Amino acid sequence: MSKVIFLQTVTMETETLETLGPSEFSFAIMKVAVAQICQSAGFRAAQSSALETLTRIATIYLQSLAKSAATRAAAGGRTQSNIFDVVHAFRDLSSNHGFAGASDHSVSVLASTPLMASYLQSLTKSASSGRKQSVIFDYDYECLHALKVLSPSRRSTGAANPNLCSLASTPLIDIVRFVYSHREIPFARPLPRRSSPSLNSPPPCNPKQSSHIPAWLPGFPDPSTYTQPKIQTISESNWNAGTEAGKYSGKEKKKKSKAGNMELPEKREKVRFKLGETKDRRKGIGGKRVSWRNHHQNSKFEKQR
Amino acid sequence: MNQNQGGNDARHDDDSALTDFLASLVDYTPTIPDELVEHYLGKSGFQCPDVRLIRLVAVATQKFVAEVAGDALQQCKARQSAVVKDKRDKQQKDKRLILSMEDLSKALREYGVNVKHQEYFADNPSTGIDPTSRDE
Repeated sequence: MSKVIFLQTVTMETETLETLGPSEFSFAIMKVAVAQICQSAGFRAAQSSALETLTRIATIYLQSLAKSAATRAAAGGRTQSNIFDVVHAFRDLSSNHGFAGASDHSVSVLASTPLMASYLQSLTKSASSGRKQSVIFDYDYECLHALKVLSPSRRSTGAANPNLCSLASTPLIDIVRFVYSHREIPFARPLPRRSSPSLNSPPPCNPKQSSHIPAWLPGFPDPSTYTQPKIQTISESNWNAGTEAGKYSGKEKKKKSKAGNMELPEKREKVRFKLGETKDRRKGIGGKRVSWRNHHQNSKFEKQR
Repeated sequence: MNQNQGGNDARHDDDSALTDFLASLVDYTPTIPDELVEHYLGKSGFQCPDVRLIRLVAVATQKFVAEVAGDALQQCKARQSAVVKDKRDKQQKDKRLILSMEDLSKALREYGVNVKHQEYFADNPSTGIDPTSRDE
């Protein structure tokens, strides 16, 4: 049997929130909010799996509302969504369950233009980039046109008239009723403010000295990433000491690389490899080695014998 | 002429109702906090500088969850009334309204969400027993 937890305790526990990762953090907060809603509906306790399932579904619902509204806005050539997108999205999501007036096509037309104008005006006052909001593009006009074509009977009443308001749709009215009838349930706990560190560090700016490069391009990376590092001996010697291969073939190389460069010296010692068992115990390692002694094409690696 | 006047009245009603509602949204604080809603909206590509729309989406979700919870509550109460027992037991159970997976899956089925809960995990001897008949 899954664990039954009191809804009150979900809203009260404070210790665990700070230790969570970002996705779990938002899920935990959502769980608290959903627990509060369930408590206001009348439940006293819940199975933990049921609560988590309901939280997940609420998350999915929220995201599908947002996706649907964003898609509608993009189809109309706008980047920012407005209330009509949200209302239509809400109608789409409620169509599964059904609502009164779902078959009424007149509601799919644009809202009354004075209302739209006043709403958009209020938006442009509050938002800085109001220009994008106030232009309604082809998709919306297509809806209008389609309605004109599909409903000849409405032509007599002026189907294209701005009186048919999409904002009188039933789901929206239901929301209004919900808001007016239900008591406000403020969120139980103060949210710990998480400052996102990515916002604090701006991208590297181009220094002023390079005037031929326009300023709007992102800056060059940190110079240490593309200049040669000076300190290399320590790391190479460690690597050579650590591995047997280094012991085996690196003894000659080690002498040369003490200079500290990353490059190989021009005149290099011959590299010896032997296949098969060797009696050479000087190196201390048994096993197969590849022999290059008979390969004349590799003469550049050989010193003159 | 009359039609136009009727239409105009309806439009004005809608206008005023909507503007009033939008104004009231600023006062009403939805249960789901604004930052969380903004996080999920940003994840889905929804951009809007208007806080009233964010509140609207939050309220819509809250309404949805409240409806589901209400349906689950009705299922729970229906199950309790179906179990005919002592009057004393029934009163005790009324106080313990628990959101269970079965009620939730029944409530969600109407919304097109099919939730199937694993019946039991055979890890201890008391698995498979109906949870409502167990003593709590």
